[in-house]
Amino acid sequence: MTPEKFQENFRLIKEEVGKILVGQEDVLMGLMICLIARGHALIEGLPGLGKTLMVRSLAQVLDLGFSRIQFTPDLMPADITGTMVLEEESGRRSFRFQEGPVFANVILADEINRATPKTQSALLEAMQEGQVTIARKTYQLPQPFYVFATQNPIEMEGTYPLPEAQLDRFFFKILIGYPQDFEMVEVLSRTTSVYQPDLRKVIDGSELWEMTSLAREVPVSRTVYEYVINIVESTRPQNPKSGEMVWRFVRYGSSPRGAQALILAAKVRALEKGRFNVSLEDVQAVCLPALRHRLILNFEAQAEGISPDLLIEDVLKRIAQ
Amino acid sequence: MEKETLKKFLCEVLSLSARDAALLGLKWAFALSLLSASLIFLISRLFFEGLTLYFYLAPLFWFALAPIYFLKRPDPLKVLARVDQNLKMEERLVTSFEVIERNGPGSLLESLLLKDTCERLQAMKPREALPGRTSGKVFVLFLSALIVFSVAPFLPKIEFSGAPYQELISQASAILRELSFLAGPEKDQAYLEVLKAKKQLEALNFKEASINLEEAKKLLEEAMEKDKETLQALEASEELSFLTWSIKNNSLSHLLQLEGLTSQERKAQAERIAEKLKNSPQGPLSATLEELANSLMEDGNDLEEVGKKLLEIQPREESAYASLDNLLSQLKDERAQVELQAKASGAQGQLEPGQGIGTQGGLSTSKEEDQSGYIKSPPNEQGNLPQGLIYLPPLPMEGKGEPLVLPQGSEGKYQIFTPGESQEGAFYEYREVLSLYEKSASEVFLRQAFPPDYEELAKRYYQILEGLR
Repeated sequence: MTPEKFQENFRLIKEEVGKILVGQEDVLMGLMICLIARGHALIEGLPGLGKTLMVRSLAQVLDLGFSRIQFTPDLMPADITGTMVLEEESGRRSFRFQEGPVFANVILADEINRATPKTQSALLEAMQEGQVTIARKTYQLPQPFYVFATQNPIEMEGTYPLPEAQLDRFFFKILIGYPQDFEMVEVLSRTTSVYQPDLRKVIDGSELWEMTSLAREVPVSRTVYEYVINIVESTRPQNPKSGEMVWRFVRYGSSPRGAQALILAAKVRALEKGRFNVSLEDVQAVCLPALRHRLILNFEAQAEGISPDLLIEDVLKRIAQ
Repeated sequence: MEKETLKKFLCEVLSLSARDAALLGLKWAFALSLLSASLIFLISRLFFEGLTLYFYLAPLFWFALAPIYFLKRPDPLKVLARVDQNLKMEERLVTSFEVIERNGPGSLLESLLLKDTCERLQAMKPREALPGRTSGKVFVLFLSALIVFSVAPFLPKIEFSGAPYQELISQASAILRELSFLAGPEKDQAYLEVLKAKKQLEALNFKEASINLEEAKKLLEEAMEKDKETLQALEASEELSFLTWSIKNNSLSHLLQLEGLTSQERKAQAERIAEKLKNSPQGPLSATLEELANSLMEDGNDLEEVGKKLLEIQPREESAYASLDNLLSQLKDERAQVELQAKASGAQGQLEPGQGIGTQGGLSTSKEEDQSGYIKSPPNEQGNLPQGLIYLPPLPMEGKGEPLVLPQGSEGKYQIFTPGESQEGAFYEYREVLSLYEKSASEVFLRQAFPPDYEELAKRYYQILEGLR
């Protein structure tokens, strides 16, 4: 695949999803970066902002198997991964593995924080290894495998915070906000009429794989690597070079997965922008979604309403100086 | 092709960077030199007199460090990163450089990257990519140095009050220095107070030391006051001795100190001497009046004024008045004749004891006096005082005390003055009394403390007299 084809595919996907989704370009961009970088995404926003619609549309455009799991407090891990069922055939009874909804290319884990941590953790192996183990038997998940989870803001009633280990497995955490006024006009126009767009498949799984491979070939200079390392290390309160805000409000900084996510996401963005190398600007552009869920803040930060985004912007400013 | 283009560009940029670094080094060295020189100038201006050696050494020091900047090799990656930033190349250059370093391009994207970078660099010159750096810090240093140089000349010199210890020590030293020129019991007391103050200072008891030094200052002032009185008395005594010597040696020029003076100055000097003679404890010193008159006449002064002055000196001496009256009238006629007559008249006056000039304190040639041993040598033919005589004034010997024994001439006799007796003045040959006086002076110096200068002065005085023998 050539870079031009990459850009073309990228543009086509955006256009196609844009038929359904109004605005939210940053959110869509983040999701597409996750798709090409082979990462999972956690989308956080209030109900009714089009999270589910966006993920479903994306899966439809990419011609990938789509599965939706509505996370509820009584949802069990077997409800996600699948379970052994007793089956009788020709008078013989045997256990057969009944695949759960996780066996799909794109999983929409809707309102993931409404399930208990036990159930949430059922996705850990699937997200990291692309497989599930049931009754001592491992089952490979179809590739590519993506988990696009949505969650309501943690302050809402009946929610459980995701475990740090699982949070770290999400490539991006994308925040979805209210649409602009002019976007709302378009939303109302589309949803209150007979408008039913027909989404066509733009690329398939193999093309997506080629796009992923091409993105990974983008050269990165040592300057950019050092910049990324500097950013990640600066989010850790143990680092003497971290700023006052990090020392004061951060309990745990970003893991090495954060640095990997930064580089991969920056590579995809560089190609999307028609560049053949990663620039510092690419890194800066993907810093917030790649790191915001990897910073574990302390109680003082929560009490004072300090968000991870604020801390990351502070780190970027300090490094720029 | 792209690789060659990029390498060439890279070399040009690196050489430019090295040159910039050297220039920047020179700028730093110059700015630091200027600033250090300005600060030293400021310190010199505020605390010292004139410029110190450091003023010239400081710039040399910084310029000596300048070659470090020349030796410092710029890091190619940093230079390229700066070029990327300057040209808004979005890290294309530095990434391309790394691709070339890895013997790339190894992939499609790397090839495209090199091509893209070369295309972008074609329209650019290395100088644009790396414009000369102007360091804001260097500019601030320059500005600071200029401000210091322009302000320093107008600042007043700072006088430090110093720490209490240093201040009190310097006060004590000053008091001791002053005390070394003084004498008397106040000096001893003041010295003791200073010693006490020093002990208190060693114990860092500044308050007590200050009190001691204040007391020492008071005593010093008292001692200085007494010393002033002593000096005045000494000066008066010296002047009187000098006058006495001059009279006895018939040395008018010495008496009046007229040599090298103008007419007006001589007149003023004569009046001053006349005033002193008038108040002299020796009495009106008639023997010198003629000489004084002669001198004044020689300078063409108003004779009436001269006469008045002389009359003021000896208003009650009728005979002197008559002599002077005659003298003055004669002087009006002819100067040389007046001089001769005046001398003759003066001689006559001196040769007649108890009448006219010389009655009291003048020369006497009578046999009785000669026998009594008071007169050692008769006057010469012109009536002048014989050389080598010294006048011993009547001694104020009241009350009890040691008798003063004076040698009585060549026979080895001594004239003894008993305390309480009233004695008249007499003339002695100074050779006979000089050793006695010198011995007496030495004893006084041993017994009492005098400033070293005065002691030296007295010794020199006796040495000169010794040489005149």
